[in-house]
Amino acid sequence: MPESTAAVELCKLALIILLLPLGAFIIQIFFSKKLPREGDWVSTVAMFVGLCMSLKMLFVDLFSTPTGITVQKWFPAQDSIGKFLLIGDPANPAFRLDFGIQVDNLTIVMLVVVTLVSFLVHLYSMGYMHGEVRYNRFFAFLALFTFSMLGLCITSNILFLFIFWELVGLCSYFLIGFYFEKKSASNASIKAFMTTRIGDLGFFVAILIMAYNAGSLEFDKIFESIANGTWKDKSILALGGICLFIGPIGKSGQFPLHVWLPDAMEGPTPVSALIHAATMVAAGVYMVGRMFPFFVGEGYVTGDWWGSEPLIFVAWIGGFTAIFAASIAFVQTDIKKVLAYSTVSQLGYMMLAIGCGGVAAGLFHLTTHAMFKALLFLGSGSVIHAVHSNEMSKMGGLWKKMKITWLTMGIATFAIAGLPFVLSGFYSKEAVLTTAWAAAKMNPGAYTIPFWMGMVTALMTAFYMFRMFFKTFHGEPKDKKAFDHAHESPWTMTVPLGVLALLTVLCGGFKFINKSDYWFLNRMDSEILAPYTHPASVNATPVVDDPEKHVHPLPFTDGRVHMQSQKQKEFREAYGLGHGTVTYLSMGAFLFGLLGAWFFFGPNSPGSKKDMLAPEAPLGKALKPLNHCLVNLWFVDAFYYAFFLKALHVIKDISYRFDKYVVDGIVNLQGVLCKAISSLVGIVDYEGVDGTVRGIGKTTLSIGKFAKIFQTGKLQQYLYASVFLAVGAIGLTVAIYLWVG
Amino acid sequence: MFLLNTDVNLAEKYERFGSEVIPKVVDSLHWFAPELQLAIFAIAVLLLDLFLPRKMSKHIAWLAIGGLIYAAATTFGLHHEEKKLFLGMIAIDSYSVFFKAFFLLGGIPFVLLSYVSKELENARMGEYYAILLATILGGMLMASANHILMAFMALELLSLGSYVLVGYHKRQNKSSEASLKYIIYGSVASAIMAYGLSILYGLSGSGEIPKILATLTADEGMGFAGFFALLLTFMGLAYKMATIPMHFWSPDVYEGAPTPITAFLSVASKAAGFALAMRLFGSFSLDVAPEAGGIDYSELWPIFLIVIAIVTMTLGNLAALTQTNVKRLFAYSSIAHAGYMMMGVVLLQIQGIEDQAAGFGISSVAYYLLAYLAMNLGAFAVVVLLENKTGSVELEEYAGLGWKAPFLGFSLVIFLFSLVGIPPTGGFMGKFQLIMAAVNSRGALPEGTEFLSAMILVMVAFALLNTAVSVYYYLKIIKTMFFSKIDTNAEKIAVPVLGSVVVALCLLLTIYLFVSASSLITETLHLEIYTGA
Amino acid sequence: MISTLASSLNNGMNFLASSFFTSFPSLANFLAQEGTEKVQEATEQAGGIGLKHYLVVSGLVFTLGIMVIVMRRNAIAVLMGIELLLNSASLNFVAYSKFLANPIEGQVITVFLIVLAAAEAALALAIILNIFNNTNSIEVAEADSLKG
Repeated sequence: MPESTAAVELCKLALIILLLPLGAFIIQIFFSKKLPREGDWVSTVAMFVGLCMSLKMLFVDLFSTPTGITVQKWFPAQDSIGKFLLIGDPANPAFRLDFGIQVDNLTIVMLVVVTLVSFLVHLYSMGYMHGEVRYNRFFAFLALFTFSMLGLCITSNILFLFIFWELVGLCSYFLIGFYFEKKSASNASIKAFMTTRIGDLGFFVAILIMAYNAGSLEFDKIFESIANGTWKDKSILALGGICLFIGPIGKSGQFPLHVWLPDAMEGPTPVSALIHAATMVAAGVYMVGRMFPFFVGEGYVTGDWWGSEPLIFVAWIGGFTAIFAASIAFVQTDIKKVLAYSTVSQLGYMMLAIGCGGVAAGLFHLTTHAMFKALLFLGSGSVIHAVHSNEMSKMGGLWKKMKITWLTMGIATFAIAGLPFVLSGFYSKEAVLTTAWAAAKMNPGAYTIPFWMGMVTALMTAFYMFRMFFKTFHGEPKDKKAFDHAHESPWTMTVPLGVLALLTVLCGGFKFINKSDYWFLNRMDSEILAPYTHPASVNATPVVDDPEKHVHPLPFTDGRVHMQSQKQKEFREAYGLGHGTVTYLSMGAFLFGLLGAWFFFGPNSPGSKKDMLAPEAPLGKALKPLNHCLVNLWFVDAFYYAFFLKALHVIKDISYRFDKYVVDGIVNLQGVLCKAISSLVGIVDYEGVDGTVRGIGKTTLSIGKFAKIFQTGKLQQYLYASVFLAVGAIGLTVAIYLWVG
Repeated sequence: MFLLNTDVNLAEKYERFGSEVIPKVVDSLHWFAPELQLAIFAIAVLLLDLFLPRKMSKHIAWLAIGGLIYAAATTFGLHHEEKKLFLGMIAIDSYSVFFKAFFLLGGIPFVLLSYVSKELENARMGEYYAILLATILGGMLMASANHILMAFMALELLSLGSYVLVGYHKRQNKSSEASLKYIIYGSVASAIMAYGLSILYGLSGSGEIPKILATLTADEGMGFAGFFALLLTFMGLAYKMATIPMHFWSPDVYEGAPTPITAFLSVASKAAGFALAMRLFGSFSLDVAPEAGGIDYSELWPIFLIVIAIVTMTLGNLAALTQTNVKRLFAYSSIAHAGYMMMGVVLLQIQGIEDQAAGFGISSVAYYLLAYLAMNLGAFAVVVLLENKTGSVELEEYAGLGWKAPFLGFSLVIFLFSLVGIPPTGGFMGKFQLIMAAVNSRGALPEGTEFLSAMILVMVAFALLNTAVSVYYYLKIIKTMFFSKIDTNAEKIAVPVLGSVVVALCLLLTIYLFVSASSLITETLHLEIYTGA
Repeated sequence: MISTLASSLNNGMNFLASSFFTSFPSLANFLAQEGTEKVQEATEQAGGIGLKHYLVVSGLVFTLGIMVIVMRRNAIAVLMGIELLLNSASLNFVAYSKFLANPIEGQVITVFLIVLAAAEAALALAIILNIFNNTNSIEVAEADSLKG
């Protein structure tokens, strides 16, 4: 990788952005009590500065070139503190791990997203969390979380990514269980941690596979080994891909490890916004995007991405999750739960996109989703703050009272539903679906069903999102008291809402500003295609006589020669062709969803008036079984509980008994023995050793007292004693002399 | 005897007397200036006392101090060379100059202490200072004595003055009892010494100390008679130095005397005793062939001195352990320190006076005396100042005084540390020097005396053990002063400036002695005793 | 216990005194060998009284002096004992000077010794007087408040 000073500067900037929240965390932990306002402004300012720097990187570096920047790596202090692990001879190590920073388009986008959402959430929290217990700790953990997330994004090797991944999980544990006095909250945080841990197991297995086969954990080295064909065991590659994806299944809440995400709503709303909307769950998506060549596996060499088992697996999981979660969101009454399941569903979308070979599409959706989901969560927080309840049954008709919240949430709902052309959500969803369509064209057997899953989900998304919207803001107020009490939130809460709404609009309208098509996609794609242009890659020189590989130059204008494979060319064509179809389909989905929701839940709509979905109504009766399943979350949680947790309880009991009687018995016995020995030693020491010392002291003192006896006060006795003593001394002298001589 | 020696013409004798003796005497006066000045000042102080009203008599101290300074200046100003004065009575050598300066300059703090002490406020102080000056004069003469007569007379001058000063509180029982014990004990001791000196005179045929020593170191020189005579002489000096076996007076006298005099006794008279002791005992060569089939008495002598040193140290330290009176405690501690200094005398003994420059005997004793002056004087100064305030020298009364008088408390801590021998004080350096010199001297033992090497090691071992034992009672004082009645907000005792000045000077001297130990010890290595050669 | 100690010391003292007695003649003999000629000449001149005789006498006086000092209760008697000691030393000096040494020196020393003895006696008497003023007693054994 070229390591020019410009590159190093970029990486240094990334490092600074990384360290800012860490510094904020340290200050918050140690000094927050002494700071005014308990130091919430510390981390907020840190985030803001980070945001400015990220924006600088975005505008200066990303916008300035058609393809953005190529991967820039930098190892700070490589031979000293940056060196993390060195096994073997330093010149020729068996294994070496350095802390390196890698900056490319993907990183910059993630940096911007993370710092932006984090900053807005900080600002929001200053209003929302005001007066809460452990106020300073909250900000500390927010800062730590941001630090972990940023670290995840800028690290250059997979082990460090894993470390930050874990750190993110840890922070989410703290933040979800923020109100740990509530049993449900602490349970939820444990659930989150446990579930993601299971995913991390798969992740770690994949790391081991990578380390063994590629010999290094640096991204570029891994990809190089795949591209060069020096990967040791080719059959393991697919397995590695699947194992690697298990991590994001846990972290990004894919089926079947999605169970923690809805429960994680026990945390404060800003936490939900930050973690579940924008960042933590995005970590999985980022990682899949970063490791895309790994998932492609064999196909990376051949250029055929759409036959790779891991990718198909990813797409299927993603699609299924999307539809699965959307279905459950239909029946949720807690506003945050709706949003939670919506998040799961949208994450499924992202995975679907990446699984279909469209990394850029998936990341584009990630970016836009971050904006409007964060907006939705913060807005819901505003509503909850006003009504003092999460339940939608207590809301209704709030649009009169909370204009800004209503407006911004409306924008977000339209975005997520996919309002055509105006809002960014449409474009990103369209990108995802088009990618799936094109992938289905490439490999119909594998990708057709995922595509339709995604399509149906679009419909469902629009439906349940508008359901939520109507129920919250329109119709009659269900709770008079709550309604009377409701008021708009303070500026610290509404400003972030406004900013996010603006961004939601802009991200879409951006297309009109930047004339070149596929601005985002180009930059993301160039990232993936970079190895083909890397001189070190074997495939750099196009093999002209192999039509399957690398024969077609890409239409980039920066002077570099980018090659694409035949399959990729076909994919692009399919993408372009399917664009129109998909657009219509998604527009249709949007409309139907909106109409349906309006029909059943809209204000003064026939459905809501007659309450057609009530259990007593005929439609309600018909849907009852489905409702039952949905309300019980398709029994997934119950299954887990029955199967795993009960078993765990049994094991727990057995091991508890064993520990208590056997292990502790031994330990206690040892303790008793120890006590006996030590008391014995103590006695020896006290009486024996100390006794000797004290005895010496006493003896000396008594000798001293004895010496005083001769000083009787009587002069003549002194004279006697003197003579006596003199004679004694002489006698002793003579005795010594005779003894010696 | 003129009657017997009639072979020489009387007229010739008279003529010789006029032409040789008198010029010599007049010439000697020039070198005798410091002593003369001191004597004149003593008389002047006495005269001044006649004219001043009684209340102002204590200010005569300043005249005394002036005299001491003047005499000290003269001492330093004279260009000293090794010579005899007054027909062999007094020897001028670097050794005696050192001690003269020691007594003169060291006498100033004692005068100041007497000035500051409340104990002596109502007494007639003119005579006090006159006698003090005369006593100091006695000490100076003792250090430079070359003839047994001069030695004895100077000893007596020192002692007589001390007897009076000890009993200066005429009305107090303790003071008068102390002086009674002192004078009787002291007279007995000096009389025994006189007897011993007489035998020495008889053995050698001359009263001059170098000649006596020459006789004793000659072949078959030290027989039983010589040993016995030296023993008796040692008794007298042991009394002055307060070593075994003649130490019994010192606790009682120290307790009974006014505290400034106790201080004086503990330092000055001890130093004078050592000065004379080193002149007398430090010079027997051990390379003497024993008389056939008998005891080699010259070898007996170092053994004897070592035994004395060991017993003195031990007894002094042990008896001090259970003392409750601070002055008595310091008396026993002085005995112990005399024991340590005896180690130096032993070293000189082994080295022999011919080789004195090569050995550390004189230098270690001289350095230790300097350190001892600083620390003991300082400690006693603190005791005097505290006695002024509390009127008592019982240890219980010292409880909590460390907080009431922080400067004094702190200084006392330093002085006590110095007495124990903890760095960075002069006391530590002195002990260290003594022990190092003792251990090193084993290499220079003459043939046939290797048993002394083991004995020296035993002596050093005892010195170290005794240092350890002494920690107890010195630190007991510190503990009582600081940790008995912890009341850091107690009213601070006001200390007179002059007293603080004395304490501060002693403190500085203690630390200075540590800091410039090497240069000072090198200086003291140049001290030589006149051998008449 | 102290009394037994005292009595044993007493006995020791007596032993010492008697040892003085017996040893001095041999000492005198030994010393007299030093300057045999001179001693013999002087002995003849002095009518057969040799150095030995003086030395024995002075030894006796010394012993008596010691005994007086330790045994008498009266302080003034103790003073007399001290005088005896000093005089024995003077005797020694004179004897040696006559027989062995420079004739002037010993006698000069003796003169000084006598003066010193006088001064000391005067001082001692003054102190005894002071004690008497304070405690109304001049018994040495009664001045024992300073002890330990």
